[in-house]
Formats: sequence, C-alpha cells, structure tokens
Amino acid sequence: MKQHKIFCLVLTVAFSLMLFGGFSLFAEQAPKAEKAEKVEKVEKAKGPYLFGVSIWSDSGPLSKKVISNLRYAAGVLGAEVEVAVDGFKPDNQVSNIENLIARGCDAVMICNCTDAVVPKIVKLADEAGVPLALYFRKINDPEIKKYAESSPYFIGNVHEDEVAVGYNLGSALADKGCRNAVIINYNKGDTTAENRYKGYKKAFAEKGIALLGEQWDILDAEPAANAAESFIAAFPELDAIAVGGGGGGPLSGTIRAVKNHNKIGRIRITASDFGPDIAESLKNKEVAAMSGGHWTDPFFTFILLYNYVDGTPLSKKVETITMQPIYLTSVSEAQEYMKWCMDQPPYNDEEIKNMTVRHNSSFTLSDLRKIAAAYSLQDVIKRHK
Amino acid sequence: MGKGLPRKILIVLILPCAVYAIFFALQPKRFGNLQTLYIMFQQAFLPSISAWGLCFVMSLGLYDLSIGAIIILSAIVGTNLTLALGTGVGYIWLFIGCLATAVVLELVNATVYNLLKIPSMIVTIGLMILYETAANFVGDAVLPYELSIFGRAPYNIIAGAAALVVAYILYNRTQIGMQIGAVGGSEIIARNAGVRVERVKMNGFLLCGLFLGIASFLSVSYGGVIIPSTRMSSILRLFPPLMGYFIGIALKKVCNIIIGIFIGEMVIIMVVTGMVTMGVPTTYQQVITGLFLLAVVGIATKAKTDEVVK
Repeated sequence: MKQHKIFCLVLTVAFSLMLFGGFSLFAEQAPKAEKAEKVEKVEKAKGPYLFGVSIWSDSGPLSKKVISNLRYAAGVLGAEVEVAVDGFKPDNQVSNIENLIARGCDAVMICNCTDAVVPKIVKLADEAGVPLALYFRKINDPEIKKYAESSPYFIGNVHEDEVAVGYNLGSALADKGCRNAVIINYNKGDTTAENRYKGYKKAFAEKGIALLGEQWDILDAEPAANAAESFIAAFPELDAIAVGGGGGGPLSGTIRAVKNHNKIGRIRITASDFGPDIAESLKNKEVAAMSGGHWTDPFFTFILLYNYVDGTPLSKKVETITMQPIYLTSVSEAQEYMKWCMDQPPYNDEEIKNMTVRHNSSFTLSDLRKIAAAYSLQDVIKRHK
Repeated sequence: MGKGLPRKILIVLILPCAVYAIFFALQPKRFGNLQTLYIMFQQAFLPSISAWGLCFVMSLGLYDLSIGAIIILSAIVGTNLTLALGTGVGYIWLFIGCLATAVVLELVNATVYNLLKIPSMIVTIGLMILYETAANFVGDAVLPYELSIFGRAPYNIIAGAAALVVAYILYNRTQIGMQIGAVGGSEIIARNAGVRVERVKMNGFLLCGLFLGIASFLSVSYGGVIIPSTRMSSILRLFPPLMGYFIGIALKKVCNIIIGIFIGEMVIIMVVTGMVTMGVPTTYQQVITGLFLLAVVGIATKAKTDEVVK
C-alpha cells in the first residue's frame, strides 16, 4: 500500500513537472539529453555557441523544416540549437525565452505570436544581456517597435512581405477570373495572418472580387474542411477560397472539401505554407497558386545572430531583412522545389560559412540582404545545378 | 408511453427547429437551402461519434481528456498501416488500424486507472501527453484521396448511422450498457448488487475506444491530413463532443441520450454554420456558441428541478 502511494506520488510529480514547467522541452527530449552533456564541455572549451529557438510547434511540415534547416546550419558552423515549443501562446513564449536564457543560450530567436509579447521578451533579453531576434515577423505596432529598437540586445528581425504575399495570391485569383471569394485564416491577432489578410483584401478591392465571408483560428484540416463546406453550401456563387496559412493542414482540409463537392476547377484555391502534397495538388489543379518555402527566413535570423555572438556583428543597429517566399504555379515547379529545396539544403556548407565574417571577412549586412532578397526557386537551382 | 411519445418527439424537435428558424429568418438565401442542411447533417456525425464514445466513460462518472490525442494517434497509425499494406482495399486497413489503436489506447487508460486508483482526469491528462508524444514520433499522416471515400457522402452517413445504431444498442439494450448505467448511478449499490465495478469501468473505456476508432477513421478520411499535436493542444478536440454530450444530458428527460447527443451536435453545427453564413467574426462565434450551450443546459436543468419540486 505504501509503495502504491509512493508510486502515485512520483507519477503526480512527474506529470506536474511536465505540465507546468519542462514540457516545452519534452518534445525535444533526445537532443536535449545529448546537449546536457555538451553544455558542460562548452563551459570548459568556451564553445560551441548555443542558440535558443522558441517555435510554435515541432510537428507540422513548416516547423519541422525550420528546425531541421537551423540544425543543419548550426552544425556547419559548429554551433548548437536548443528548441522549445510554445504553441503560439504568449505566456509560453515568455517562459520559453526565460528558460532558454536560463539554460545558457548565447542568443535566442522567436516567432512571436503577437506584437504584445515583444516588450516582455525584449526586457528579458535586456536583463540577461542575451541577443534576441525575431523570425517570420515584423512589428506592426509603432510604439512596440520603438521600444524594441531602443534595446541594446534586440538585433532585428527577418520577415516576408506578407501583405505582398496576400496581394499576389489575391491577384492570381483575379487572373483566373474569380469574382466571389472567402478567406480561411489561422490565428486572429497573429501579425503574419493579419498582413496576408490585408494583402488579400487589397487585391480583392482593386480587382473587383467580392469577399463573401471569412473564418479565423483554423489550424487543422478538419475544421478547415468544415468551414469550406459551410461556405460552399451558403454561397453557390463562390469561386475562390484563400487559405491564409496554418502550416499545410488547413490547405489539405480545404482541398478535400472542394473535391468532395466536385467543385475542383470551379472553385480556385490559393494558399500560403506548402502542404504535404503540393505536387499532387498542383497536378490535379486543386490549387491555383501557392506561396511557401519561406522556412529559410529563420536561417537568415540565425546568421544575423551568429555573426553578433561571434563578435563580428553585421550592423551596430537594429536591422530588418525582408525576403520573398517561393511561388509555385505548376507541377514542374513543385517537382523542382522538392528536388532543390527540400531534398537538399538551399544553402550548402560553403555558402553558409561564407555568410559569416569568421569564414569570410568581407561579408557584410548588404551581402546578407542581397542573398535573402534573391532567394527563389530559380536562385537555388542556379547556385546548385 | 404511447401518448407521451409524440409529445416527447415534439419537445426534442423544438430545439433544432427553433435554431433553424432563427437563422433561416436572418439569412433565408444563405442558410435555408437543402444543401446546407445536408452538409450540416453530415458534419454532425463526426463529433457525435466521439461523444457516443465519451458517453460510455462519462456515464460512469469518469472523465477521458485523452480522446483528442487518441483520435490523432489512431488516425496516424491507421494511415501508415494502410500505406504500408497497399492501397487496394486500403480503407479496410485504415479502419482496422484506427479501431485497433484506439481500443488498445483506451485499454491502457483503463488499466492505468484501475491500477493507480487516482482520478480519471489526472490519469487521462498524463496519458494524453504520452499519446501526443508518441504521435509526434510517428509523424504526419496524409491519406490519399482515393482511400478517403468515407470522408464524403453517402459513405460518411452510412458509417455514422451504423455507429448510431451500435451505440444505441450497446447503451440501451446490452448488459454492459445496463451495468454502466448502474455503476454511474451509484457505484456502492452496484457493487453490493454484485456488479464487478472495475470490469465495468474497463468495458466503458473499451467501448469509448471503439467509437474513437471510428471517429479517427472518419476524421482522417474527411480532412485528409492528421498533424500531431503538442503541448496538450489535442484537448481542443474534446470540446465539440463534450458540448453535444451536455446537450444530450439536458435532453435526457425527453429523449434517449444517444439520440440527444446527435441532436445536440446538429444544433451546435447549425449555430456555427448560421454565424459563418452571417459573417459573424470568429471571436463572437465562440462567445455565442458558449452562451447558447449555457442557455440550453441551464433551461433544461431548470425544467428538471421544477419537476422534482412539484
């Protein structure tokens, strides 16, 4: 009986720990165990650098690619990456930054779920004297932006021109002759989702497309299919569905719903964040146009931070780097994308090393900007073919 | 009983008819057409099946917070089994894989609960975390379209209707169902009457697994993709079935709970679809759905209390 109680107590404590503290690291258990040993070595040998990454998930197609690409780049430069999952929740993001700093990370980077969380994490970075940068995000709020830029440890951010993404995809729908559209988007309040939405609305207004309805907070295939079916039933004139993002699941659900109602070709779909079956979607003409492949964005954030941590910052002030995602409109493009960007890293070992002052003393911020701006399917093929 | 039946049917139909009438009045062109009703009817089956499974556990006075994680893991295992064993009659493998995984996971739930004798809520939260982690190790599941015939009409309706019949019979016409009702009513009285309570609880979890298996099979067939959850986000999948279950409980006085759950899910989907067609912002949709649930359960509970007082 006593043993039984002790067993229960141990389990309860274990569950509590997972729930209220260390669970963000639970998903990363294997690498963490490996790292725990290396941290000791780091202290003795004064290296390698440890970069903390707070990310919304480690299981979706986009997040997995972000993590694997960062680990690859870190490996090339002899650095290490510690990942903590935040579920896009502000309180988790703050606690992740706290934990990553406490664990001795030399720099931290985050895809903030809202502008509102930025002051808190900037303050944490300031107090600890640890450089911080944002990936996939720009700061919309001018006051928060000003506050962040006043911090000596806020290095900058990398983001895509999300308004342009929405605008380009909205224009692609207009080019296909669409006149009545709905938008299925992910988290309300998320900067990227809101900016893509703005872009779509701008394109719709300019090109004469009526926005019949919108549904937010869709992150999975099933609710996306539900929403798409409801729109199809309610609006017989519907000829376009814009999927704002959400990591690929919502796109798949939307496609299934349109297919189930035999509306492929009559209802055009555009999406951001490539789904797991992009070539198939384009081949079957289920998708009119897609943007994605922007998982290199955190890589550029990492390069900014690496140079800073290495004592050779690319700039003495806060920097923002803007890049464009990859747009796919045909099966052949999708196949090329899989071959050149997914099956192999978009930047090889030599190119990664050349983005650091340590290995390339003439490398500047301007060079990094040019590389980020040039990123496209054609650019990757041209460099590696 | 003969006289009371039409009255009961009438009372049960008031709720969905009233909701339909309200949205039809507000959006006659958008909401009222037959296709919208047909789609809502199809959509109501998926959460209902999970709710029927939940019903076997919650009728015992237990909770199962791991149902979302079980659906996700079962769908992932089922899909991978299908892809590994060939695609000829793939949906049979999918069905077997989903069903077997969900039943095994609920067996684990029941075993851990019976062994540890701690509240089911704690046990299922702990196991939910483990199931989520296991799903992450396996990875995403993408089901080819040709294997997802049960994600569209009429097959989804056939599967849903079959699940309804099975749930009804199991809950109302079998010894297991009666025993679940008895243990849920009073565990002490049931034990004194010779009912083996632990075994009944085990059966409750296993029956829940049976329906969760069907739900995961239909879920991956419908959405086409299942992406593992992290940080307990799979718990979000618990709420739609739970809301239907609450309405089912509220309607229990006038209607069998299995039927009541389906009506509850249908009504919730009507409310959500109605708001979508009206262009109500998502945040307000959630507020209105929550208030609606409180109103329905509150009114039904009030009516029951009044009857007792009489």
